[in-house]
Amino acid sequence: MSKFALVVDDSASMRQMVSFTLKGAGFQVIEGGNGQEALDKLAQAPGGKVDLIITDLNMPVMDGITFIRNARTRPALKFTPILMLTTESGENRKAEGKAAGATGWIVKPFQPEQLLKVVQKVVA
Amino acid sequence: MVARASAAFCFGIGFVLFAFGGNWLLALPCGAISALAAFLPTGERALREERDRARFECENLHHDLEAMRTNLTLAEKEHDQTRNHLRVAEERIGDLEVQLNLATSEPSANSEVVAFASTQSEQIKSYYEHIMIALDEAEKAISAAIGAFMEASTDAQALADLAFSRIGGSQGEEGRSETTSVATSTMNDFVSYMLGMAQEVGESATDMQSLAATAGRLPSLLAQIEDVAEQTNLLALNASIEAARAGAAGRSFSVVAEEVRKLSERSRQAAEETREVTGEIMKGSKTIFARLGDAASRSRNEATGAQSEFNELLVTLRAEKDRNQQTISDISERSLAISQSLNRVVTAFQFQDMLRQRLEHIAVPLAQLRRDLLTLADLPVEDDLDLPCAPGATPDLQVVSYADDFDNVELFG
Repeated sequence: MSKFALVVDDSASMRQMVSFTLKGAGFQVIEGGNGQEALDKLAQAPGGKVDLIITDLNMPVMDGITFIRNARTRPALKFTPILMLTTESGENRKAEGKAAGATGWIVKPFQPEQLLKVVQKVVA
Repeated sequence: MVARASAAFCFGIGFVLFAFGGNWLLALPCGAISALAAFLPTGERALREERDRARFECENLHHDLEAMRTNLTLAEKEHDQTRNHLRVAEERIGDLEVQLNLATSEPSANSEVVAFASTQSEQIKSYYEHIMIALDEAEKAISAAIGAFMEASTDAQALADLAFSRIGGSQGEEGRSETTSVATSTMNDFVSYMLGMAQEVGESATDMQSLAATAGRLPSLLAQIEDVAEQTNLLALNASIEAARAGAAGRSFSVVAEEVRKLSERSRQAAEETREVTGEIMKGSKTIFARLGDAASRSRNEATGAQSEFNELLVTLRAEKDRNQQTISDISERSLAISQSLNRVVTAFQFQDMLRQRLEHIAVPLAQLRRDLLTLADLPVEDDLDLPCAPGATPDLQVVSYADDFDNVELFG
């Protein structure tokens, strides 16, 4: 059974690139243009559960931090690895992400092989 | 003597049957060669089909890469446009700063300066819109380029899979090679067997020759028997004469001499018959010997010919296999290079998104500045800029330069 990943970014091209990289590693990918859309689209995954979430930080409607906080309240996503993929690298923002429940922080740009290595590490 | 000659005759007949049996067996290597000849075109056809598939994938890849190049050119144009807008915006902001400094230092000219700043603000708003439109367009172009790139990458992957399946299929190749090997082994065994047969036939022919030589001694032996019979006959005649001379006393001896003479006559007849039979055997043996010699020679020629033809086929098959493996290796190498290049494109493309985010961050203070200026100019503040960034965004983004390696991952414990 293939694994599910949720990719959240307001940039369509970023979503495409992350999805493409993950699909190459055998993931089925659900995409969301912002935090709220991502939460709504989670219903597409069996039991509303995904094996991995990669999210941007600054997004309209609902930003990445708020999205993570919301996601962590759902039992199905309590232990799901959530990676932030963002342009921001400030320690304060990182601390904020960690406190919200992020598993790791990747500063853009990502390299496909490198992203997959991190994904392999965090996805059981 | 008669029994010995008969045994030799029987051996001769058996040998003829054996030799003809050998000729039947000669038909087999031709069958095996035909099977191999049939196998070769099938193998070639399969290889040709796979090459055609590879070519088709390559053409697809080429097409996708061309589409990507077109889109990239478009993206580059959009990017240039964005840069021009940004440069103009930067100049205007510089002007604005000068005017604001003036406004601060010369309070008397305040309202005039503020009015000017307000005009500048309109300009800034206009440029901002231009920038955002250009960025949207650039985003669309980049997105299209990425779509094309993905197809290219998928094709590259298909190409690589094809190549790997061919290399992995080198198990198949090995299987095929095993088949060939088995065929070779069987064939060689058979050809060796045939050569052995031919040699055996030749050796038997030599034996037959030796037998013929032995049989050739029979006439002289028969001559001796005839001579003995002749002498016995003469002795019997002499005995008859002596018996007659002895009169009544020798009558019984005369009967014995007559019996000896009859015996001598039968010996002579038997020897004559034996000579005739031996002559026939000799004649037959010579014919058999000639046939065997021919058969041996034919077997040897045909077996050697078959082996040579078979070896030529093998050389062709091996050369074809080597050529294909080289092609596979090349395809694989190129596919890997394509994948690596495309991965670098993925990394590079993200700078577009990073640029957008930076601009969004700049838009926040610019919008605030515009609001302040409008307030200063006592003009109505229209909050009509639909800012795409999150409310908490700040302009203090770290600038990441493009590099081959990024140490940008942090996993929280």
